[in-house]
Amino acid sequence: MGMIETTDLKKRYSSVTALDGVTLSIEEGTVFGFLGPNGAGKTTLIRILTGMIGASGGSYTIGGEKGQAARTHIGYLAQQPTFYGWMTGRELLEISGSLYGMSTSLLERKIPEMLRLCGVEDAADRKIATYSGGMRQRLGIAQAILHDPKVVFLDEPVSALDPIGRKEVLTLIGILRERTTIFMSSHILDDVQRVCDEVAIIHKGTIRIHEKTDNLLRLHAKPVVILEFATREDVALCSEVLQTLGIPCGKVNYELSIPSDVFETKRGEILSLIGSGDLRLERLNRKDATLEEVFMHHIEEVPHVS
Amino acid sequence: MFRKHALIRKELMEMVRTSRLLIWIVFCAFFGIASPLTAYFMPDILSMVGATENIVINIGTITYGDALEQYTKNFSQIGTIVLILISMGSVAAEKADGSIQFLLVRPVGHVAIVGAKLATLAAMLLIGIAISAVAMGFYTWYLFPGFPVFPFVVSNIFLLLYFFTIGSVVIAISTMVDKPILAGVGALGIWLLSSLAGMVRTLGDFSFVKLVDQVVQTVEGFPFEWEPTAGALLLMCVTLPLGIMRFSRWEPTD
Repeated sequence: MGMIETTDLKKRYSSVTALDGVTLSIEEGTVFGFLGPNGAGKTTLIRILTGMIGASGGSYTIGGEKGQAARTHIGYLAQQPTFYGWMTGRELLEISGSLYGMSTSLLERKIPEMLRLCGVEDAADRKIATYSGGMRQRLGIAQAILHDPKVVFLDEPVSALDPIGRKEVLTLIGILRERTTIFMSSHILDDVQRVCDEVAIIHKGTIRIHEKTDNLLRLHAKPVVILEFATREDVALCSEVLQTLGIPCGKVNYELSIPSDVFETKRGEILSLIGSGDLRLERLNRKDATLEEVFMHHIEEVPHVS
Repeated sequence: MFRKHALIRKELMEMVRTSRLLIWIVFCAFFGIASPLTAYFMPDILSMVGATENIVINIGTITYGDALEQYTKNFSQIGTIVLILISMGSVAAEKADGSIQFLLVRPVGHVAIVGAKLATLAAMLLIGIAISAVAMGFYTWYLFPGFPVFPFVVSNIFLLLYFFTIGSVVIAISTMVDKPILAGVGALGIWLLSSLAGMVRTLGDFSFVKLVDQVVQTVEGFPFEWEPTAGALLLMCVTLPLGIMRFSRWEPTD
């Protein structure tokens, strides 16, 4: 049994279906990336799994337990964490740990460790109202992992941060992977590709794909060769001719992309076509497979190169 | 055990850091001191006003009853407004700014969250009313010989129950709505309706606002009337479970 198991989870708001039968199984120790465009159902699923809201149907377990018992195994960081501004960072951790049943002696040992790990040691006795966004996010991670939860839910942990804060938080997530299972939602695909072992894409309340990140890139995304032309007319003309020859391609602005394997087998044919047609090819680049391509394909927003 | 203590500790810290406790204590101390002094010096004040207008104002002998009446009426009316203002955000403000999510994802139930708020409300009211009762008792005993201090101190239990009922209703409505102002308006509405209901014969005896009259009746040696206490308990028994039920179904809107 996985650390997080959901079976046919549903959530409806009168006429709107936010989640439509979500079934997932996530193994212990995984850094799970939950991808989807805004409004796809990412936050709704996290809120159900953290016990903040109820589901309209289906079931779930965290660490093999249901309901309030499951909540003892989780840590949670909201998309835009709002803590009590009148508390200090240290007090927040004290209250948080006590709410998970941690003893005073354990808290005295763990709190300095967490403050150090998350880089908020110097601000520990300052009021949270004076913290910057990045500090608040790091304090949020500290409160989420203080009690050594089995699963940490991070809802868009870096989307509101500047590049420095984003880098700090991603580094911290990298450190956490050795301690716990991480369920992280995001729409920043580069970050997910960088830190997550496993990825699921949700769109309109349904899971479109769920795979190991490596498999996903290997099976569903292919490296492409990008041909950059001087004019849009050249791109359009080349694309038209290639398609009549049965060579798949996609065009965006001045660029034409062709799957790398197709390009290699038909390299001579394509280059001679460009030469004979007097098309002005400016550059030719190879681009590695990215999660973005898979993501776009599964949410059906732009045509996929295939 | 740690969890309940943590919730109460959080509420107590909030009460102190946001100055709610201080405001309540200063307010209670003011009415505890001002009520007997105003009653005692009222003839002098009125004669000074009359002298400037060339009129003579005759008023009867001032007794501790006048001080008691000022204390119960002014304290309960203005105190209600103050209590509503300082309590209306207790849950609604946390919902509005999202900080309530910190508690909701932890293994504590909605009942425990509301219970901690009620417990700290009771503590705040007790401290404030104890201060006002001691101040009022001392000054009235000093200025009006024969004032029954002990029955007066005991009678403040009714004032405590009255304010606790108001505070509970505010918290209950605060759990139902997302904006503090709505909780304030709702509680004010229930208080006004209960005051109006208090004027209706028989049914009005059960209005919790009549708990204030019990203060005077206890000092004067009249027997205890159970109806206002029953009305207060009934009101809390209806509003609090409704509030908790609605709170347990609450979902963030962002």
